Amino acid sequence: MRPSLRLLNLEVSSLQGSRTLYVCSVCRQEARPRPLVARQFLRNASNATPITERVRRKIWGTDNPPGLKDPYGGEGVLERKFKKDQPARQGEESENLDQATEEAQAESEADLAAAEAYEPATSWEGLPRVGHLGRWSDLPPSETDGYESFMLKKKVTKKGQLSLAAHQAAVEISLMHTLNMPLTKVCDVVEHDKSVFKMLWKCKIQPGANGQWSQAVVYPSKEAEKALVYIFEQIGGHPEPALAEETAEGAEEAVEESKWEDLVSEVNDKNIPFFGYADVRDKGFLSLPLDDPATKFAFLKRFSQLSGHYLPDPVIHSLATVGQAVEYVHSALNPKPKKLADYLANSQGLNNLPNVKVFAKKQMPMDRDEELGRKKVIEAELRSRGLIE
Amino acid sequence: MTMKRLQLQRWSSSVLSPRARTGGRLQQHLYYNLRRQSTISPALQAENEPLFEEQSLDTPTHVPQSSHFKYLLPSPPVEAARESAKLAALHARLYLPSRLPLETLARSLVDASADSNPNFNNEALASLGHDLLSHYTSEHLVCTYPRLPLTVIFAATYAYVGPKTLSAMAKEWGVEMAAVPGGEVDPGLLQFKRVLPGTDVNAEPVTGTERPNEHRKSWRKSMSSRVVYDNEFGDPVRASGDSAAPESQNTQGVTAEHASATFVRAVMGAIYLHAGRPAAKRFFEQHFLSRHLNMSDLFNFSQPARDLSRLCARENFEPPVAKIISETGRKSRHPVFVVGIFSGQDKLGEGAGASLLEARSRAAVAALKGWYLYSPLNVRVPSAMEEEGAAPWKPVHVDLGEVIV
Amino acid sequence: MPVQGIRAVTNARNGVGAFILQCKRLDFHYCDWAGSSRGMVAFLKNTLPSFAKANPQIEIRVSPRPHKHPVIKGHYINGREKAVCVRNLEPEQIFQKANLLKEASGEKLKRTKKPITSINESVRGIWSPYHGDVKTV
Repeated sequence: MRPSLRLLNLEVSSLQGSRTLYVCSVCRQEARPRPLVARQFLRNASNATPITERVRRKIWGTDNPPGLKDPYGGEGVLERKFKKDQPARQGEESENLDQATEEAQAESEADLAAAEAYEPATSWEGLPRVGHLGRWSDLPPSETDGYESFMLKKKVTKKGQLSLAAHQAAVEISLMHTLNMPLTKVCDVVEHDKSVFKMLWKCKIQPGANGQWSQAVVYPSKEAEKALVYIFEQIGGHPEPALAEETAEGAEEAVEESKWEDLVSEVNDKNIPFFGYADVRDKGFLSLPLDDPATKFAFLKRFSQLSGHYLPDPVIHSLATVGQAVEYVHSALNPKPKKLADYLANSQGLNNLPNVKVFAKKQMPMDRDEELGRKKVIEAELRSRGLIE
Repeated sequence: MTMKRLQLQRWSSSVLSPRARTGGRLQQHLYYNLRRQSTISPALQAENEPLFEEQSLDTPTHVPQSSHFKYLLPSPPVEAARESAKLAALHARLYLPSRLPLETLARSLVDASADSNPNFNNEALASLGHDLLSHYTSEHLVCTYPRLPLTVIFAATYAYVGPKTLSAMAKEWGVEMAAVPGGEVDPGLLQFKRVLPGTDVNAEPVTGTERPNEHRKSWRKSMSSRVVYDNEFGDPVRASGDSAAPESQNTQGVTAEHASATFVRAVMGAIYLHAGRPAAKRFFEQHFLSRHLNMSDLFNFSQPARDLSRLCARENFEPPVAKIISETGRKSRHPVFVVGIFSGQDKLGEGAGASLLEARSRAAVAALKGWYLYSPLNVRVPSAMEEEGAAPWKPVHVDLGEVIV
Repeated sequence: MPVQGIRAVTNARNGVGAFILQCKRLDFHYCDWAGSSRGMVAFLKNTLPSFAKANPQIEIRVSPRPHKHPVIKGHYINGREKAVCVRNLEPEQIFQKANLLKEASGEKLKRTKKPITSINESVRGIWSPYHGDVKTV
């Protein structure tokens, strides 16, 4: 009986003036007059005297209680310190000014006089600019400000392009081996000219029995060999890209047009890595060994420069051939699926079993309807009543 | 007896060979052209190809696999059988031979009311399986109980392979039913068109049988005529040439019991076709004969004492005499009499009852059941001779049957 | 007609001829994100292939159920379902639960008081006071 009595007490029909038969409890609560506490808060919000002041008045019993106006703090520590510093600094300034001429005093006099004739500004026009004009960001860029990254700006993701990078690096390192030049010098030229790249691309690599890099390169023609040797002598000696390009243009005419050119889309856009070449022509470079630490370092440096991927140290240690390096980067690019459904869909063990069905999505009642053939009937009925399109 | 002569080879070829579709709308016709049944063996297909221009017309194009296309099919496409986990699980649950492909199992789950195309429904498989089942059952019953009355044989056959039992088996095999048949439905579900709720399935009696003077309702149907004209359960059947029945089924639908029974029969036929006779027989023994049936519960005597005296007269026994063996409380509220029926010195049967008459008729029933339920030892059925290197056949004893009163 | 046949239906004796496993379907639900599914995910990855191969007669469905605890649900031939929540369980424990569901008959658990239940008649027969030696008081 108690709850119903309580509810009767809270009847709002008198408040609303309407004779509603049933009012839900929430609405009833809403319609009740505000509790006293809330009203006090409302009144306090509009009152001028703060609560601390009113408490003090209550304690002392008078409207003007003795003591501090604000007994709960007053000036803060920082505030006090700031106030102390202010006169000290002013003192320093005045000392400096003592050594200056009396002009300053006269100036201050004038200031005082001006202060009397002070007129507040209404717009910014004519006001002196405050602040530093020549900041470093406003200065024109100097020579040292320019930054060119060691690696390519865009990371290579496709497997064919990774192979291209590895192939180019392998050919270049082999050339440097042949020329007895410092191996890492190849990194000085980040991106070759298109014609040079084409020659490098046409070079094949046939690793010898003892895994020598120096005899591995097979050139497409004599002219190409001469051109490449000349270019890389230049690179090895002192970088002179302009000269290299000239010779390359000469060599290009000598190189006959192969059928591979058809595959290459003639795009002059510089953003496309490897000038639109998709994949390497031969896979011989993949079995090149990385036994020699110097060769390994040079190759991986050039490879990471061309592909845009760093190789962590533990991985570098375990790499034995060029192919493994390419494989590692490729697998790092395509990690294992995170979703279990993807994993199960690819797993051999479950795919061969006819009695297992793996769903990628949550099974809803609608799926069961479709499986039982009920869905089309339901849809037809809904459609006939105009409830769905 | 009820064992009808089976020509399995002829029927199995009709199941396996592709048959030209008869009738149907043009749109359906086009879709059917694209559908392929995997059960058809390539050799047979090549053999039958010149006969049907429909088969030679369509070139093997790729079948569109969109979901929209699936909705247009009356039953799931053949390729879907490999995708269904339900179907594979059913295959393994029934220990079906691996030579029976999933596609055929899927086909045996499609009733004629769902897909009227005989190349894709289980009608042919079911008719083969039905004949196999009734063949094996009737030879088992006749050889095991050579003296059973014909009506009891009908009842026992019904109990072993009747539609009620078969639908119960389909349920016990875990076969689920599709709500509505269609191409998008899981092929592991039993597909059939349901009858509308409230329809009385037994409203009209079966007509169009081969029995002469069928319209004479009051004429007595003799037992001998039921052997000739009725089916193995003693029910009237339509003549085989009458095509009215399937048409009405296709439009009105069938009951779940009928569809389940058809499926079980189709499985039997499919096993026979794909795995051969021994596998079919083993399947029958494992799944049908292993079920429990109390044969003595199938008898319903109206006048057992009279039957027993006729039987004794037929078999040249001394006429049966009922004697009280013991009794208690004759004057009480619950008297018990134990009555034995004797033929000369031999006690044929014994029964206890609350009155002398009841006890006597119980004793007569016991005596009759003792006679009818005679079962020889080491029963061999005729189909045991079909195996290689079987022992020579020794004729089994088959009695005259029930007494004629 | 002297004797009529009474139509009846044979009773199944599962295991006498062929044995039909009563568990017809197992649903495995997991969540990709939640930690309570960690054991379930490991089970599905490593143990499920061998489990499914050992039980070809069970239809196995694996489907995600995001933001829920992992559950194994068994569907039985008698139409009942049994669900087991396997949150925070190790793969071995989940394997035991799956086996439990596989071996269940689907019936409600009940105490069996008699060691044997049979539909066959007793071989010895029911004792009768009217037969044998009559004992006189």
